[in-house]
Amino acid sequence: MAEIVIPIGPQHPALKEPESFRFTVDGEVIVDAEVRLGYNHRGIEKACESRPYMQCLYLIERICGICSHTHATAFAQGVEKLLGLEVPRRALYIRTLVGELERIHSHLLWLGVAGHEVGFDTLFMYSWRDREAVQDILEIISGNRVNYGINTIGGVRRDIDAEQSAKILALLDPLTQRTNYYANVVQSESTFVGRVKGVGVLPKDVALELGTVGPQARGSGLTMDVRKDDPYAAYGEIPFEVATSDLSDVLGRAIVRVLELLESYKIIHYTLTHMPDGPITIKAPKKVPEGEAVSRYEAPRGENLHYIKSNGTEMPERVKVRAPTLANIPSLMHILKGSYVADIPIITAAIDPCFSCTDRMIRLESAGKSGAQTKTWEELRQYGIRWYADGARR
Amino acid sequence: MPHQTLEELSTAFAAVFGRGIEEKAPRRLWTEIGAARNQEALAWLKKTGFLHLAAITGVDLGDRFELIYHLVKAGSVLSVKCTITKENPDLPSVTGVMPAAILYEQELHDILGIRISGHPDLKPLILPEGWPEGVYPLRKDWVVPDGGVNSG
Amino acid sequence: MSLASLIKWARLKSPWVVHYNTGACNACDIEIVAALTPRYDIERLGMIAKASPRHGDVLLCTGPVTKQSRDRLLRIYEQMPDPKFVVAVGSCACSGGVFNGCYSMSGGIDSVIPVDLYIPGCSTRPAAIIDGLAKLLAAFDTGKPVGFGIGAAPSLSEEPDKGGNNHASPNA
Repeated sequence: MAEIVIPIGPQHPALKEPESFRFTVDGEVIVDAEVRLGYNHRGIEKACESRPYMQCLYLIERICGICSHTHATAFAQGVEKLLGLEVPRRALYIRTLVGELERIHSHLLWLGVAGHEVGFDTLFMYSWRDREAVQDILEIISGNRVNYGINTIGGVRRDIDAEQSAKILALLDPLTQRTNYYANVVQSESTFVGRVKGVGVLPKDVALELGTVGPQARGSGLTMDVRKDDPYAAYGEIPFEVATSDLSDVLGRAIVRVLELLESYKIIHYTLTHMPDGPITIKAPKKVPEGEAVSRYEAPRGENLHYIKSNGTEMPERVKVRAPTLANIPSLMHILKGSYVADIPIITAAIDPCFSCTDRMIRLESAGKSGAQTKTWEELRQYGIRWYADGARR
Repeated sequence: MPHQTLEELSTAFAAVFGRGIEEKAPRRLWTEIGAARNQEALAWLKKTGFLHLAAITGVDLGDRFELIYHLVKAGSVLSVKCTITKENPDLPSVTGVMPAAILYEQELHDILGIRISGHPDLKPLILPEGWPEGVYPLRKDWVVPDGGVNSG
Repeated sequence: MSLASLIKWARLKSPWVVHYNTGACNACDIEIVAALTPRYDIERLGMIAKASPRHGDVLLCTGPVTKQSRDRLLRIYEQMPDPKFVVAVGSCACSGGVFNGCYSMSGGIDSVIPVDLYIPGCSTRPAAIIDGLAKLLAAFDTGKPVGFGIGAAPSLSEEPDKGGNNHASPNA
């Protein structure tokens, strides 16, 4: 049988270029998968070695615009450990609050993207509309809808007042109601369920072996959540449940994210009703004594790990960032092998990848035949929708 | 038989690998091994419950490279260090023991030029295409040219 | 009504937008997508996001142009038919932003292709994106400079210049 290679890469069809994902296909089934990143590589780790810690903080916050607080907090935490600083409790609570607001906006964003990938655009429009309420709150608290800049080394830069607190609390009930609606949709709306149930199966032991993290891991029954296992910020004091699903498929991952939304509302409620008094920051020296720190954070996508090595100067010796998406790519590649071409968009979306997926090109090359076909990601998405509508899946 | 306390774990580890495991901060454990025994050490630690390989850090210390395997068990991070020389930056792959290492080792090869032996496929992972061979940006002796802007 | 003024009217009422991320952190990209959603809804201004450059009037670029994306950016630009307009969305697209000084960067969209409109921000909020695009549309109509950033607005004259290009000379 002729094997077809499908590379998924950035925009251009006719140029020979390295792709981000390369698939070998036999008919409708993926036989092999390879990955090459570098599209978004910006040399941030190297840049940190020649910048003072505060500048590093601003740079690191911009590793990813969807989970910027994740990286900023992880970095600040690491430096604070190296400095031996005891960050004020009120600051830890505010960091937690912003972190959960970020989780909410990220998961609602994901819900919309997942809906879009399977042709369920109503879900996309609804969830992004609800998400706007969260963006408003983030803007009220921090001044920006994304890249909030709430952190400093030693605490946070802005306080929460009673009015802001009341606004956030008022939002939680409507959001809970909307999320219960989404919980119902993802589990019972046949257009959605038909595209995710039994799709992209990742067994629990394989997930663990491959270093999987976040909802991708919890959706396969792994109870791992840095907030619970290795508490940071205020999580050690806040009661909440870790969401898991034993379904081990894309539906399981969707359910985990929806359950996490509901837990986030509870965590936010707790932080606002138990907000400690006191300062929001402690002064941090510019020079950081020699040492090493490992800082972890449960980002919306999973475990984020920062390693920082200091050398007694104002600039780090080494900053290493292992973002959650990288940890989830091996399991993604594993899942794709043996899956249908039509499922590529939703399986990829299910890891909630932190790179722009909207402008990927797919090339179909036939090993034994002449002529090549080119498809855009959009065309592959449409292909998947039609393939399922025609009842092709066995 | 799982080790009950950190002290037991440390003693048992030291008996095999020559150095104990130290808790330098809450839930942050550290140890060091010889680089040639990395597969053996990770396999040993895996049996005691360190099942999650979170990341592998590579550091250029000037006269040598330091590799750090960050393993996780029940919320504690055990960072296992080893060093290799700059003249012969060779390191055995641990993918046979911990398949999660696959991309982390590729990254070490890309940015530091660490030669990982036994890795399934060491092709470039994160550097842009057209990046010159033999240029390893995270090495200390490589400086960002022209301040970085319009560098090619 | 001449063909040229019909085309001009159609462009004014319904520019087709191509969105390309040259290595951005995604913040500006999700704000561009947010502009499509009910709160902001750029479709009511007639703007539609199109995947193919061959159908695009306006190229919305984000990101500091990593080395890996530089050639692609050029190819996309070349594929778009004239007249075409390039919008740099976000500080990174305008000038490289915080990533100035990092290796593997080109440093802003105009280091590769000419830019007609710069919309700064880190990230650029949807309202600013719509405001910038509305100014661009106004410039289509009057031929006056947009008044935002360095690039001068192109004019939809009936005779394109010899290069088939309606741009003021780029600073690249």
